[in-house]
Amino acid sequence: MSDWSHGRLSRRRFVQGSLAAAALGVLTLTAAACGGGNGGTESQAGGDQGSQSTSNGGPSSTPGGQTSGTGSEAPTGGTLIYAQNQPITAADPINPQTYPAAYEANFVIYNNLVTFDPDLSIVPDLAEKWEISDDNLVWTFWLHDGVTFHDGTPFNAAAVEAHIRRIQNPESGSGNKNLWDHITTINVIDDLTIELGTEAPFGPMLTYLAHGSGGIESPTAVEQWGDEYGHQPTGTGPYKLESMTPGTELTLVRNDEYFKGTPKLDRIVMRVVPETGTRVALLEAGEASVVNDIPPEEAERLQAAGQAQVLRQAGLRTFFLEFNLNREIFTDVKVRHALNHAVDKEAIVANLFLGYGSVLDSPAAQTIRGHVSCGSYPYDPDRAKQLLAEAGWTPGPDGILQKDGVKMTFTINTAEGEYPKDIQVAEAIQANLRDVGCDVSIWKVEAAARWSYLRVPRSEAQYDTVLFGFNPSNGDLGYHMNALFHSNPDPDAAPYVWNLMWYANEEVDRLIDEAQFTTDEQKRMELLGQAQQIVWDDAPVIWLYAPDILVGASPKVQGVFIWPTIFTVVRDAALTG
Amino acid sequence: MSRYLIRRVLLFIPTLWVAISLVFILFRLVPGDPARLIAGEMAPESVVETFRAQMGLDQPLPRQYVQYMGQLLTGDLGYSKVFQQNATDQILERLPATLLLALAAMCLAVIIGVPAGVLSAIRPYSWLDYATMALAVGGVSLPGFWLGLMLIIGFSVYLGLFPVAGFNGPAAIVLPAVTLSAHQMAIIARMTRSTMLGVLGEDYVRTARAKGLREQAITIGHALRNALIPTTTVAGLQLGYLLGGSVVIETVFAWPGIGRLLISSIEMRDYPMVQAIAVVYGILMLAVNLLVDILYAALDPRVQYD
Repeated sequence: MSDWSHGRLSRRRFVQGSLAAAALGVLTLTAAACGGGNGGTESQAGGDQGSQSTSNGGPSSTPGGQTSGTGSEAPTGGTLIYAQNQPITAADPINPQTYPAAYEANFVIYNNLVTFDPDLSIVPDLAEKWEISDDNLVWTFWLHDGVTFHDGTPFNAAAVEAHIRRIQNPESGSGNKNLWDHITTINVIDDLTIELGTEAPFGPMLTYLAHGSGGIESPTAVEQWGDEYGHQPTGTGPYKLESMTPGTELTLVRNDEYFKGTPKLDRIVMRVVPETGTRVALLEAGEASVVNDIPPEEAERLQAAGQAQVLRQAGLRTFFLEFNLNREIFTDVKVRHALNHAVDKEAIVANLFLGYGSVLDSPAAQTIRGHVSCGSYPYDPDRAKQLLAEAGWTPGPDGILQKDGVKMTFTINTAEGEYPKDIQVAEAIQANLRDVGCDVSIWKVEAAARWSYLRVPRSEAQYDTVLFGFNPSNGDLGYHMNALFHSNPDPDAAPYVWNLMWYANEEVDRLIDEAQFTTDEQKRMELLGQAQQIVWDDAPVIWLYAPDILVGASPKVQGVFIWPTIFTVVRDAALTG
Repeated sequence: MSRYLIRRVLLFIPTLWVAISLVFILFRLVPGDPARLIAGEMAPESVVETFRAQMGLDQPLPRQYVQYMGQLLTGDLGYSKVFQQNATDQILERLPATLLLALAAMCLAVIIGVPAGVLSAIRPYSWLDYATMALAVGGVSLPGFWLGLMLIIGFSVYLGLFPVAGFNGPAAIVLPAVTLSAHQMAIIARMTRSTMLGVLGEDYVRTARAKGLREQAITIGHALRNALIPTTTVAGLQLGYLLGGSVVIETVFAWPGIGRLLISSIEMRDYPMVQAIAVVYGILMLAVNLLVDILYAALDPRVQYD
């Protein structure tokens, strides 16, 4: 310490110097972060910020998931701030990160050949009209004229071809590739006409084209930005990129050249706010116009307070307690019916979801096109016990069902927080099943790790039952049935899509396959309707519920709607007042 | 002193290496398939395989380790497929926000904690003392998550004084900084109080009083300066807590910092990003510890390093 006391740098000076340095450091960081970060770009138009007006009494939850109020034609300007529960880290249509946040951004930035209207019916987007050939193998699309991408590149059939080729190319690494592999030939007839050909008639062609991965990006931009393209999304949509901080915020500004007419807002800002309580607070404080993923309790409270709109849409995501049918105890259909009767699904929807959901009456949700009501398995523990007894299961001395020395003991595989209320649902089911004599325990795993336990070959499957939710994000019933209930071709590989039950029914397979290769919409729905009924009766799962999608919006917001496929669509939004 | 410094800095390397290796190995042992998570639930196995190969995850673990170490030595922290950018770029974008929050919290903790501790010490067992210490217990026990949400409800929603969340302008730092500082503020207050009480009973303080110095001069000039020494070291080391605690605060307030990045990267099994953050945190912690030790030596002439 001799240096210190002998004057070269006294202790006092050192301490004073460090304090000064620390203060300077804080000031510099503040200046840098405020100037360079989000601080400067906050532009609140007068219409959005400010007090919550106490107008028009309390808005009730709007069925059909659309905002209330009349729409006006003139642009009203303003900035719509959308607080999402997931971050947007890359807005490339072939592999949007993450789901659903980036998909929602992409529905604003890009157009598809065709898209969905609020009821999930197919309507024209970049394609004005289309036709299918007599042999049902070739689809011809006539495209809009005079459309340009945000970077000035003209939109034409070559751009469509480039998009499809890019997604089909394994090198591009698209997670949605298998939604495009059915297109085997692409024929550019002229700038505004393109033919897409399939090897066999492909029924759901249009719904697949309307999927989030079908947004057409500018080929010039892809070439220019390469790997960086996800941060420089360039489409034809009503709003274009202004700035993007991956994982934090995406700011879009109005595209005055939008081919469907001038969009109504000046800007749309999408931000990630991971904490649910904070998202709701943003809405209440008037600092966000739209927030997604509102829990049912908050929806009730917001509606009672009357200061925000709660948009509600019956979702397509179906929840089941799936049986691993390789387990001896689940092979008897009577047992599966019994267990279906043993669970009080109405109570789950009423108490855990406060009524924001519906009990399943089919393998598919009610709002999906082609849904048929297949019946019900009402809550009836006595009937459950009776059926179990008929199947040879009787309570042993410890109260647990047994048959031929085997006990009805099994686990429920679930995560916590992967799905809304998942652990509570598992506990409710466990209680119900225990009441009829099953020895049920909950096997809880971390959400990110869960798929590793489930996507395994048949012999490696450690789960007895799984609490699983599946959302067909292209809104297609055929995809839903195929993913969940088509038999897995290879027992030594992981399930082909999501048939974790290892369910196999030849008739169901036949119906699903035939529906895939029929372009006659009515015939498709008929075949899939039959398939639903068979699967329902087979009960490879305990049929549970389909929760509603809940989104909060400020009373000034119009034109926002929710697709049952989970996505909140803000591309037609406007702000009043 | 300089020999000591050099030795300490050289020790950074093996320490960092052990920390990074642990993170590397342990994280890869945790179940969860990054390729499948990024590809999404609708992707076929073939695409997942492609991703796996692109991320180098089809190699045996030792080979992956060696490759990573080699990459690190060239200063390349890795490429995140989730962000589709280099881990370094994303971290540099977010680091200022976290550092700012941590420094603001530290300043608040010191500015409020030290005077509170001093006041408690010069009037021990008074109502002021009890009140301050009760608040300190609250500060250290209340979960930051809860405190943050309460502050949002109170000051943002009801009173409209501060923004709810995000980093939009200087006012936005107040609530997160207050929440993050609560724990440290309590510790500093308590520590200052107890060291002050100890120092005020020392002989040299009695001598100073006998000399006729004003009480205020004694308190600040003599007692506090000595009491601050252990407090400073504790406060400096608490920076580690701040970096960790910022994870919760950043989530609650949607603060665009590294804490939140770490959590979401773990959830996505974004190996390169988590490893890169481990490197950054490791360097920060080691640097802070070294600075605190130097500060300690600078403040207390009785301490010598060689």
